[in-house]
Amino acid sequence: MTRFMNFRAGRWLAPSKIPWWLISLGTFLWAGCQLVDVTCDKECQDGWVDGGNHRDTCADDSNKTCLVSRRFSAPDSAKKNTPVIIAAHGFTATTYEWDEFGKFADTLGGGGKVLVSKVLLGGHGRNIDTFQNSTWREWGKPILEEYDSLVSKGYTHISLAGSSTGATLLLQYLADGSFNAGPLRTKVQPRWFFFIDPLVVPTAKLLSLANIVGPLLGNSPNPGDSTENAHWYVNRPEEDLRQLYSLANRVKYQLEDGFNMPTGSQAKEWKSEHDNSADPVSALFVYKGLRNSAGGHIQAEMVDSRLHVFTRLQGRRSPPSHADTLLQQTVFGEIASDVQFTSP
Amino acid sequence: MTPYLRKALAVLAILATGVCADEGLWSLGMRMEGDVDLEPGNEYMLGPEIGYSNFDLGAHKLQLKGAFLTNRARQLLHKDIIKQDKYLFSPVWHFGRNNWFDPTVQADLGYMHYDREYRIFSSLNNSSWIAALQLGFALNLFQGEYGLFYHFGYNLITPSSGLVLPGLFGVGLWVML
Repeated sequence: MTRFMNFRAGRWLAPSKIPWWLISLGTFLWAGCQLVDVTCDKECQDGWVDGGNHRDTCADDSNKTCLVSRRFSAPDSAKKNTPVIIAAHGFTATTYEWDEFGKFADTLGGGGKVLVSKVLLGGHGRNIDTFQNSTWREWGKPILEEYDSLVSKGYTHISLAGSSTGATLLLQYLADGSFNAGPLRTKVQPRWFFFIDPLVVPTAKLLSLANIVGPLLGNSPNPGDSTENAHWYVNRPEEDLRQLYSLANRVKYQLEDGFNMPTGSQAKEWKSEHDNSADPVSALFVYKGLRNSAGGHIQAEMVDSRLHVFTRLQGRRSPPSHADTLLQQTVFGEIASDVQFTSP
Repeated sequence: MTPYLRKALAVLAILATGVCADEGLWSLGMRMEGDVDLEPGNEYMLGPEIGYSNFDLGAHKLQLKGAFLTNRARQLLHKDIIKQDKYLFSPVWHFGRNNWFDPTVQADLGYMHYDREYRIFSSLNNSSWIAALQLGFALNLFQGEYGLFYHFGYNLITPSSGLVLPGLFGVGLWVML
């Protein structure tokens, strides 16, 4: 018969003497149970992106408006020399996060001066099962695929912008030399990298325990209002939180070693001073660790905002202030101006 | 020396003078603390620590430690780290001070800050108080003349803007003076 040690008395206990709470905890863990399961009820099925009936519009492969590589089947030489910005959204988000910038670019100077290619990250914008089974490497894959597609179609003036985890993925690609690898990416190198609220250190420090308590907790839902639930996953399975921390942590330690951008590329980062998702110290990590090809610092600006991804104002629970709108338009204007008028 | 380090040392000195000096055991050691997150590439902070215990402090079961930990040595290998310092006062309760294996409970109380280095980042809140609880053990070697210790625990203060993570561990060694 199995016996257990009573440490205080130094004796072996029969199973009947084992405390009830120890038996419960052991059974719970043994059964692989989790405190909060990923669930999707009727409200979720009908109105949330988690359910699958409300996919992001860019999840549809036949959609020609999201990706510039699909928008123009046979671009002429003028189009090929138009600046294109590949925009990558953040964790649990969708291309909705860059909608306003897309509209801004469409109306800039009568339209057509800057093209915005809204990339839907892998595992995002489809349904919660796809998200739960995805890794951070899959999240970032569509960014490089769109870059390669643009180069193969003859586009010569390509820049990249990332918000939150989208920026973290771009940093990871810079760190591992993805833009210096392969015939397409060495043929046309990125002009600009723009980072909006890059996530290197999460504000919620408990995320660092995701590998330890995550399997027990299971899921950390983050419900918003109906608009947010239609564009951001509400459920945040522990598998994805672990992936997120792993990515952020990896980028952080690579930034500590320092790495350079491809020759001719430039970068600029903006960071909210008060951010409930990405710790503002993330901006310092990026500024110290990321250098241009000559070893110089990138451009950085701390902005007076309390919003995470301050460039996205639509769909916020509280209406944006005049200062928020002004800041958003200023940053959009700077990005558009940089890609149009600044030569590497 | 920062005002916080001065305060920590003053507290340690006051506690030390409150007991009979001739009964005191002083130790000198090195402590390394790191984050616990089960990911590669942890942050490590290293530095000296001093310890004091006395027969009147629970028959040497209560040991008072002071430590200065820094990650500045990591610059040798990782040139772009954010430089951090910690000033810690650590009361330790030993359950088996006279034994080879000595379970311990320890609190870390103190202060940390990191260097912002550039004016652009002057708005960053670069400091935090520290309060951590840890469990561990010490190995008393050569009748307690030398020893090793290990402890792990939880940081109770993890500011949203800062570099203090909840999970931590520490290892170290000491020699009796």
